[in-house]
Parts: sequence; structure tokens; C-alpha cells
Amino acid sequence: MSNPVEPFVMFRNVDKSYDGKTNVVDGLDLDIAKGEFLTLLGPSGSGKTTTLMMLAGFEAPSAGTIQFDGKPITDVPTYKRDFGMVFQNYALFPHMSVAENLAFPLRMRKVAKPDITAKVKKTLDIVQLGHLADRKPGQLSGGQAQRVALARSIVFDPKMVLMDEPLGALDKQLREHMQLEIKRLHHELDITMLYVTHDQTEALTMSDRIAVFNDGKIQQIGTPSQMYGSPQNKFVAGFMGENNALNGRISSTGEDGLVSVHLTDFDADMKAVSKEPLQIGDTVKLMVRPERVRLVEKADAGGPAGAFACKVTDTIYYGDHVRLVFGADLNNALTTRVPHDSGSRDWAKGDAVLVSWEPRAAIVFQP
Amino acid sequence: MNGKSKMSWLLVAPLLILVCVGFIIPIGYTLIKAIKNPEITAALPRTTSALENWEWDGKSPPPEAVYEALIADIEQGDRGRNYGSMTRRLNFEQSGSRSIMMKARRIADKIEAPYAVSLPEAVPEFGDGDIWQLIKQNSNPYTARYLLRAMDLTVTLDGSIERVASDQAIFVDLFKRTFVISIWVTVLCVFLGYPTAFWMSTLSDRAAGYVMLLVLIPFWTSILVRTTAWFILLQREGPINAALLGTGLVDEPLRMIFTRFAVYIAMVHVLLPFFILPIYSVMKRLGMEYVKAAASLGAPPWRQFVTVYLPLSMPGVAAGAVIVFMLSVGFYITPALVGGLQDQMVSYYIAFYANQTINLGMASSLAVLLLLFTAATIAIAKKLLPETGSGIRA
Ligand SMILES: Nc1ncnc2c1ncn2[C@@H]1O[C@H](COP(=O)(O)OP(=O)(O)O)[C@@H](O)[C@H]1O
Ligand SMILES: [Mg+2]
Repeated sequence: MSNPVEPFVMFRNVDKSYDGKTNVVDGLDLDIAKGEFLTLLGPSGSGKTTTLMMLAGFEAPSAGTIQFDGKPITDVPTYKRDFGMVFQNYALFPHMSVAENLAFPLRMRKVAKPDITAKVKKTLDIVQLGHLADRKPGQLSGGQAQRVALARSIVFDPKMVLMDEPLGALDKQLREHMQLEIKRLHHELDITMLYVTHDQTEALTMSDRIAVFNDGKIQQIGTPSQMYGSPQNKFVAGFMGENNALNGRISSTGEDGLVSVHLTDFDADMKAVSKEPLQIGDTVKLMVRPERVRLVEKADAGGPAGAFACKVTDTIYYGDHVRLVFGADLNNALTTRVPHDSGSRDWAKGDAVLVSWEPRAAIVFQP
Repeated sequence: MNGKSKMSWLLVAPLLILVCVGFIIPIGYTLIKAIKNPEITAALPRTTSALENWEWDGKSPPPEAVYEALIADIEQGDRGRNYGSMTRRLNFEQSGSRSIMMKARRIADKIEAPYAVSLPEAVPEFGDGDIWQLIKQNSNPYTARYLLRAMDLTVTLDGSIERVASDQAIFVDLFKRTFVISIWVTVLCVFLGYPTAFWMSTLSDRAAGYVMLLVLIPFWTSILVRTTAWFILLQREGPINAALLGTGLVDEPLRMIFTRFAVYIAMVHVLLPFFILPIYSVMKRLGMEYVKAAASLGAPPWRQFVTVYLPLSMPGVAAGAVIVFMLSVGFYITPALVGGLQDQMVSYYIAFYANQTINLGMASSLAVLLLLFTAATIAIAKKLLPETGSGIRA
């Protein structure tokens, strides 16, 4: 991340409404630094694509301003914006070969013929597709088409690259491979990237910063570890990674932002972090990640947060680990991960255990 | 045959039967009618076989045996329909032949052998070889003469092919006119239909539904009704002229009915939906995605259109244009109603030969040539069109 004082891209108070009634993007403030990899993450319909389309120039904001490199760009047509774009289904021109697709943006910029040839070749080599230059897009596999789309979006040295769920159509293995590839390109080319996805794993592994969207608003923006480790609200806590959400009631408030919570479904008192002003007796949701839930031998081994006894209601085998489920009500169940290797014990339904976590690992939110 | 394939045969059987009965058989029949030539041999079997060994030298008549054969054919033939068709057939090749042959029949009872003397005395045309040569030339069971005539060509008595007299040479012009009208109608449909279909493809589904209804309503009305509507609109006393006169735009009524203009306007109106439907379906599937991609890659609007949208929508244009062209080539009722004599197309003459003069050979020949020329035009157009293999299919 470079100098935050002078953002490369700046959304200020941007609204977008298609029907004049509801804002699908609502009061958006967003800064993107030069060279940054920023991801817009959120459920379907949360306004990510709309935000991207406004930056690309395909949609005009209903209110607010968008600045790029210090200048407002709302009146600049798309073709003058100089942003590379990767569309979800790639939008490779089916009537042109791979090489012609890559040459297209260069032709539009009136680059000399020999330079076009050289640049196309070089870019195809970057994505390791030099041998497919003469193919038509219809003859490419999904992964190859994806890489061609990527190559086409960078071949003309754009000022930044916008990608709207570019890996959505690929299978899991290819997707993970392409995540690394895009990350590598970002480093090699030192280019600003705005990336849209609804896949939180993808966001966590690729981004410098993540902006979580919901209902047209940014819920939280920060580095992947900030987003995962200290979510600011229940939506982010629930959306980023797996989380247990347990019903509880505040039994005491304390210093350090820690509170004691009585867990209704487990009849136990546990400590947790509170980010909101809460009173004794308030009903809350306690969020704690499965990997932070530990099994302990003795009640005091859990430290100041304490521990409570419960019975395993289900075990789920995952290969490298086993998930243990506690609590009768599946919607409010508590799960934990225990490593699974040759030496570890076999868990069975009905086993009685003591459960505990670090107070700082759990957060309470208003339900 | 196992049960499954029996089942599939049963499923396609109605279509196969329909195709055979409604398509292959009539076209085959038409093709054969265009070259079939039974009339002369049917009416004059003896004469034609007697003529086999005779060579026409430009003046000398055939030997007595041929005359005897003709008299025998007249006396022993059915004297009715066959003879009549034969005379019409000869008259088509050489006008005047009909009355010669009729005279021969009338006096056949009254003259005595040797007929080589008595027949020319009664009917002088039998005195030289020409009429005999005409009979001999047309005694093959198949003939190319109808097809040649449909191209304004004829066969002379010595067997060479030459152009018919200019007052009879109408068919080359007719074909040219048919194709010129059809090409213009196609071009007009493309230029009117393409932007319309594009506009429709950008509408919401609901709005597009309503506009589609507007396109389809005329489609559901019979061509005859729509053409009649134009007939009324374009008349000298019709509403268009009334409006023009009323607004003072013109001083006297414009002549619109029975002109080429009327033919174009009515044909384009009838055929436009046939163009809009396929191109709309292509554009609907094409969407704006590629145009957006082109814009993001730096293409200004007109280059977005020329380099991306146009080539990708070309298969739709081709499909629509081929449909419009093929339909307009065969148009009959519209030019017949609103066009003048100089605006009639091939179908008009096909109908004329089929209904008025009952010359099925000529009607079939025109139909066959129309089919061939249309197929050739479309094949050429396909070759000339830019490679659109990877575009969106219609
Ligand atoms: N062109 C459009 N016209 C009308 N509504 C739209 C249009 N595009 C998106 N929307 C609506 O705006 C909301 C946000 O959509 P979008 O930005 O595509 O969300 P996301 O990309 O996060 O899934 C959705 O409710 C969607 O239905
Ligand atoms: Mg989206």
C-alpha cells in the first residue's frame, strides 16, 4: 500500500439507483491506493458489480463523485478510461483469434504493427499461452480462456485492472491455481487491481485489502487478517470464514472491553470481547471460530474465560481434521476442529468433553 | 429393426410423408414438366418414325412414305385432344404452324395418293421441308426448348441456338427485374430492420414483448389483406394523396399505385418481420457484453459497432436476408396488385402460363430457372460474405 493521503481511486458519497427508489449502492466512500489489490467481497446482489461498473464507466452514479488520479472521471467515457477489465464470462471476441483479441486494444490505440506483434507475444508468454495464439476462443478450455482474458486486460498497460468474479466459472482446483497466477501478475506488473468476488477464501488469499459489502454499503474494510481476526459487526464476522454464533445473555460487563456471557443453550458463562456498548441482561450472539475452540482436561486449564462441559452430538470427518458438533439445536450448535492423524483419539457421539476458548477469540454482537 | 428405431421411424414418418408429398414430388414433377415433350409423338407416331431417316437440306420435302404416315396419323388418330395439343406445341415453336396442321387435318379425307403431290396442292406449306423439319426436331420425348425460351433463346431449323426476336424476348428482362426488385427489397429490409431489432434487443423483456407484438400483428394478417391495404392507401384518390394535397405539399395527386415504388413499399412491409425475427434473436443472445468489452479495451462507439457488434450479428443479418430474398423472388400477389406491367416478377408469368395458356412446360421452366438462379445467388452471397463461422448462430 502506498501513500494513503492521496488515493488513486476515490469514491465519495456515491449512490446508485436503477429504479430511482432503492439505492443498490448507498453512500459509498472507498479509497484505492496505487498498486493495491483491493477486493470487493459480499453476497450476491450487494452492489459489488454496480460499484465496479461505475468505476469502469458503464454506469453513472446517481449521486456523489468518483475521482481517478486526482481528477473526476464521471464524464469520461469508458473507452477513454484506460482500465483493463476481466468479465465473468470473459467476453473474448469469438470472431477473433487469441492473438487478435490481444491486439485489439493496441490497434485501438494505434500502436505500430510490429510493436503490436511483439507486445502480444510477450503478454501471451506471461500467461504461458504463446502456443495458442492462433486459436479461436471457442477452442479454448475454461482456464485458457480465463488467462487470455487476463492477458487482454493487461496487454495495453492499463492504468488499473478491474475484475468481476473472473474465476467464478472455473472448478475449484483451477480457481486456486488462477488465484496464485493473478497474484503473481499483480506483483510482477505492480498494477492496481480492483477485484470482485463473493468467495471469502479467494478474497482472503489474494487481497491487500478487502471491502465487505452488504446491502449497498461497505460493512468493513481492512487487511485480510483484520477482517478475519477482528470483524466489526455480526455480518462481517459471519461472512468472513466459518464462525459459531451462540445465543447468550450478558451476565456482567468488565474493563478491557471484555464481558461475561451466559450461553443459553449450554448453560455456561464465558468471556468475550464486546465492540458495542452492551448492558447486563442484553441478549447477544457470541461468535467464536471453530479453530479457536479448544478441548481441555480441567476447568481451569481454559484460563480466565473458563470452560464448560458438553457432549459430542455429531462428528464429521474431513480427512486432515474432524469436526465435533456440540449442542442439540443444529442452528445454534458449537463446532470445533480437532486435528486428525494416526495418534489422535477417535471421537464418538456422546463423548463428554470440556470446551474452552481464549476470551479474545470470542466476540459478542447484538443479535 | 428393434423397437427403438421402429419408434423413431414412426415419429418422423408424418414429416417424411409430408416432405415427399408436399415438396419432393411436386418439385420433381415440375423439373420433369420443364423438359417433357410428349405432344408430337403422341399425335403423330407414324410420321415421326417415318421422319427418322430423312435429313433436312433446307428445301427438299421428305419422300412419299412420310406423307402417307401423316395422313394415316390424322385418319387413325383420335382426331381430338392429342392433335390439338400437338398443334399448340408446334405453334409455340413456330407461330402459324397450328393453322397449317389444322388445314392438313381438314383436307386429309378429301385428297388422294400420292400425297406428296396432293397435300402440298391443298396446303402449300407442306411443299418444302420446313414444317417437316419442325415436326422432326420436336419429336424427342424430352426437350430443352422451354428452358431455352425462358432465357429468350430458340432453336432454328438447322439446329443452332439463337436469340428470339426482340419483340418476344421478355424473360431475361423479367429475371433481371425480379432479382433487382428482390435485392432492393432485401437491402431495404436490412437497413430498416437492423436498427429496429437492435433497439428491441436493448429493451426490457416486457417492453420488447409489446414491440414484438407490433411486429407480429401484421405478420398474422394475410399478405392479400396487407397488400390490399396498400392498394387503397396508394391510390390516386387514396388517403396518402388526400393528406399530401390537404397539407399543400403537392398540387396534384402523386402517381403511386401501379409503380415500382408501390411494389417496394408493399413488399418491404410484408417481408420486414421475416428479417427482424432472426436478427432479433441473434442480437438478444449477443447482448451488450462484447460491446462493453470493446469499450473497456479503448474502442470508441463506432469501432465497437464495426469491429465487434456488426461481425458478430452478421449471421443473423445473413439468415434474415436470405429468407427475405428467397421470399421476395417468389412474390406474386403484391406486385400483381400494386405494380404496373413493368413491375411484374417471374411468378406472375409462371401463373400466366399455368392458368391462362396452359403451357405447363413454360411455367415449369420459369420455375426451374428461378430456383436455380436463386440458389446460385445465395451460394454466391455466402461466398462473398465475410467469414462468420464463429459468430452467434441464428
Ligand atoms: N442494470 C440493472 N438494472 C436494474 N437493477 C440492477 C441492474 N444491475 C443490478 N441491479 C440490481 O442492483 C442490485 C445490485 O446488483 P449487483 O451490483 O450486480 O450486485 P453484485 O454484483 O454484488 O451481485 C441487485 O439487486 C440487482 O438486482
Ligand atoms: Mg456481480
